[in-house]
Amino acid sequence: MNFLEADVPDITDFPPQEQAPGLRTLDGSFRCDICGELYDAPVTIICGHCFCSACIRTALRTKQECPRCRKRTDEAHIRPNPALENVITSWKAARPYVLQLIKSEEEARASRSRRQVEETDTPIPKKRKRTTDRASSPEITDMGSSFAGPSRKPVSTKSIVPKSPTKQKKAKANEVIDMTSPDSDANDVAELPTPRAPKGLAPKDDELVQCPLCQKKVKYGVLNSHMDNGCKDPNSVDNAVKSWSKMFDGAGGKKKKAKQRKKDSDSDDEYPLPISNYTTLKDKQLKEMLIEQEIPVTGDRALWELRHQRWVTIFNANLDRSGPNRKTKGELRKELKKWEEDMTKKKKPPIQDLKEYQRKHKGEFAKLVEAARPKKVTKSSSPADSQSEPISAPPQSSSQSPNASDGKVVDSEEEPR
Amino acid sequence: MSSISSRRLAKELREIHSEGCPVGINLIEANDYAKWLFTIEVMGDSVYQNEKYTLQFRFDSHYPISSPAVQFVVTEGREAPMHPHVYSNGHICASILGNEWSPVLSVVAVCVTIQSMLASCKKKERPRDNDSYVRNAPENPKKTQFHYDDDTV
Repeated sequence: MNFLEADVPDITDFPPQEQAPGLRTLDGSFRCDICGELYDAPVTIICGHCFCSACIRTALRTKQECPRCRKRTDEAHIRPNPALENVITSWKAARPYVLQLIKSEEEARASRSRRQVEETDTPIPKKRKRTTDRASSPEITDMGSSFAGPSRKPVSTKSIVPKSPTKQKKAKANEVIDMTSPDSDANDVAELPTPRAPKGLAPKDDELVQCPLCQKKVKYGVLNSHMDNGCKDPNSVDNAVKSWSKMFDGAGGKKKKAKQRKKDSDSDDEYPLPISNYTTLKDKQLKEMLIEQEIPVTGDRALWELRHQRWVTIFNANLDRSGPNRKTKGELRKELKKWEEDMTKKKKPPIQDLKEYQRKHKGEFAKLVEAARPKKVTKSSSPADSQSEPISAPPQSSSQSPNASDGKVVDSEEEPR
Repeated sequence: MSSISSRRLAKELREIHSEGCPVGINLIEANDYAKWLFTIEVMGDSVYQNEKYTLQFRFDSHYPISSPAVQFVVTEGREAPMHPHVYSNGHICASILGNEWSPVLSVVAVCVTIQSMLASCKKKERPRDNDSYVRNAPENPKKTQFHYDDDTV
């Protein structure tokens, strides 16, 4: 039974209210009432209730009312909720981290070591790698090798940094000597870039120190203003040129990427697809619609309708995502395929079971069929229920039709009576 | 197993396991995403004092957009409660299971509704058309178009 092992994160991942006030309800309030997942492309309808775009679109197809408060509504009332979408994006990132914190706190409590002070200043999570890089740079400054090494944009070093790093070091060292005021010893600066360390005294104002941010040598007196200016030192023209060219290089690269990305996204598909009434469509028309959307035309007509309907749903729902979260048509097609597989997978096992079941209970079936036969005659005279299908048939007939409405398949699977 | 219906059911089940069912309702079987069984009894003063019934849920792949098929189990010595909306074959005439189903409802919510439907019953009796309905009823109660005419009980 791989039933409960399925990894479905939900609110019970968090401890109950008494232990972790608010967390369960918080996680719950980020979840769609229809699918139970964290909102995917959250939308608001006329009454203010929120659902995943695809969920509410599917639900409204069955019944044009709010599933929560039953207020009448339809797809035209759907409005995207980008604020909530941003909240969900952040929560998705924070959730595992919070859970991990809870876990480690529980462990700490279990081991009774109440000394978990470092817990509070646990390293910032992975997503903030960028800043950690920067934060760690002060340590790097103390190492001589870093002198010539890591520039702010390591990617674009090719054009700026000379081929041999040692040369660069020397060149820079010279530079430093030139600019150093007479009283500070040049060797110290070049070999041991921590001249201030020994005596614990603050460096003199005109002493060169390494900027902890950009690692350039800056006069101590202007270090603060240098950092305030974002490490752009107006005095050292040379450096400025370098950093500007660096920036242009970097920006150029980024621009290219951005352009490519723009090309990838389908800019002409900004408009929602209309909802079709399939009953009025001829097979040929429906097929053309499928081809137009570049989705498969395999299977029978019933499947075409389901497939096209689902496509319209996920396509329109995708438009409710804000820019960066939007998926490409290719991704949507994959999603459609997966959905179809899930639908058929669900139906397959019962059919296999059914065959075995049929073999096992052949006699019973025969008896049931026999018992049902006379009923057929009286059937027409029953006003109580408007059931149009003969009950005697299902066990045999529905097993052959995998595309029959699922109700049938489930029916024939078990015979509780 | 990642379709919408099975994921949603898995979540419901996890919640039942971690928070338990409301008083008087107990999960007795949920081995798959197709059929679950609950026992249901009415707490406090009612005509069903000390009686326990078994409620069966069946789900299709469109759950929760489509409603579950809910009925009382009437095999192996178990019976459907005597109630003006419950047929002797276990079928239940309740709008919430038919045209008033909403995808935000859950298995537990349905159990609670049925429990309160029983609790508010004053007189134990079968629906008037019980015999004719049971004789021709489809196996799946969802295939019956019930006519909801009485909202007093």
